[in-house]
Amino acid sequence: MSDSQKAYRRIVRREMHSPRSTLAIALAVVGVLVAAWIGTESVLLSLGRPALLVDPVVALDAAIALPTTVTVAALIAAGSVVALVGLALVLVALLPGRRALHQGRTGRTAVVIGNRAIASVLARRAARAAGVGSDQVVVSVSRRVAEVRVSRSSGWTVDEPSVAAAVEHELARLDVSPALRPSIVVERRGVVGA
Amino acid sequence: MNATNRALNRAGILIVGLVLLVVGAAVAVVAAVPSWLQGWQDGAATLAVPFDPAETATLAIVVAACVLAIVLLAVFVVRQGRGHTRTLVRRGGSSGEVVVDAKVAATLIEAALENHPAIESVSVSGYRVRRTPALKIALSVRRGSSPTDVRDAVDGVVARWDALLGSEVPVLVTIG
Repeated sequence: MSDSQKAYRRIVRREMHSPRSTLAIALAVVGVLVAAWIGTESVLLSLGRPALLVDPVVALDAAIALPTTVTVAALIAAGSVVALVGLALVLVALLPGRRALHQGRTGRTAVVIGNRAIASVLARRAARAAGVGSDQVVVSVSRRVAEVRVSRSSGWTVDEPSVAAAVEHELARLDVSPALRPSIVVERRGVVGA
Repeated sequence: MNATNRALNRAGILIVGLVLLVVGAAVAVVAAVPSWLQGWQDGAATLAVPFDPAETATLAIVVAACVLAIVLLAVFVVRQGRGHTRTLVRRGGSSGEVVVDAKVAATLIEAALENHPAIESVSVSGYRVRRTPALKIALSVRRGSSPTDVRDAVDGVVARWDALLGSEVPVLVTIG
C-alpha cells in the first residue's frame, strides 16, 4: 500500500501544479525559428545568394555599432523591456504555479477537485439555506478561503447562522486540502424584486 | 499524469529569462550612465570581430550549430505530454500472456458513469507513472452538484472494475 501512496502523492502533486509546458514550447518554437533563420541566411551567404531578410555580416556589424547608432533613450527603453520580459520568465520558472484545484481525501482513488466545482456546490447549499435564488449567491474559492456572498431579497432577512452551517457542512463533506475556511458575507442592501 | 520533464521546462525558461534579464539590464544600465556609455561607444568603434563571418568554415560551424539547436529543441517539444499508455495490465505465464488494454477500462468506466445525473462528461485514459500503469478519470460535473457524491459514485465503479480486473491500479479522479 505504501507504494501506491507514494504513487498517489506524486500523481496529485503533479496534477496540482502547472507543468509550464505552454511557455516552454513557445520559447522552444521561437528558438527553432531563430536558429532556422540564422542557418538559412548563413547558407545563402555561403552560396553568394541575396539574403532573405538581413545579411548576417551586416547584422553583426549593426549589433556592434548599436551604442553609436541608436539614441540613449531607445537603448534604455529597449534594455528595460528585455529585462522585464526576462524577469517575468524567471518568476514563471521559480514560482510554484499552483492550479486552481484542491485535493480530496485519498482512499482507493486519489481525487482533485476544481475550485469552480467547489464554489458551485457551496453556492447551491448556501442559496437553499438562505432561501434565495441561486443568482443571489456568489462564491469564490481561493487556496485557503471560500467566500460566500449572499444578497438578500428586499424586505426579507437571511438566517446567517444557517447559511454558515450549510457551508461548513458541505466543506466538512468535501474535506479538501489545503483546508478551506468559510467566510460568509450577507450584503446589507436587499435585491428588489428577487 | 504525463511524463513531461517539468524540471527541464523550468530550467529552460529560467535560463532564457536570466539571459534576457542580464542582457537587458546591462544595456539599460550602461546606456543610463554617461561615462559607461562613452566606454561602450569607444569599445564598439575599435572592436574587431576575431573571425571572418563570411568565411565558409565559420558559416559551416554556424549552420551545424543551428541544425543541432533545431533538432534538440524539436525533441524537447515532442517529448512534452508523453506518458500515455494503451496497456493497462500485462500478465505473463509459461503458457502465454494476457494483456488488458486501457481502452477496456475506459469503455467500461465511461459507460458506467455517463448516465449519472450529476456528471456532464467523463473521459478515462491510461498513463504510465514511474513504469506502473495508472488510470485518470476526468469528470466535468453539472453546476451545483456535489463533488463528494460524484466521487463516491466513481469509487463504486472503480471497486467493480478492480473486482473484474483482479488487481488494483492507481486511479486519479479529477472533478471540474
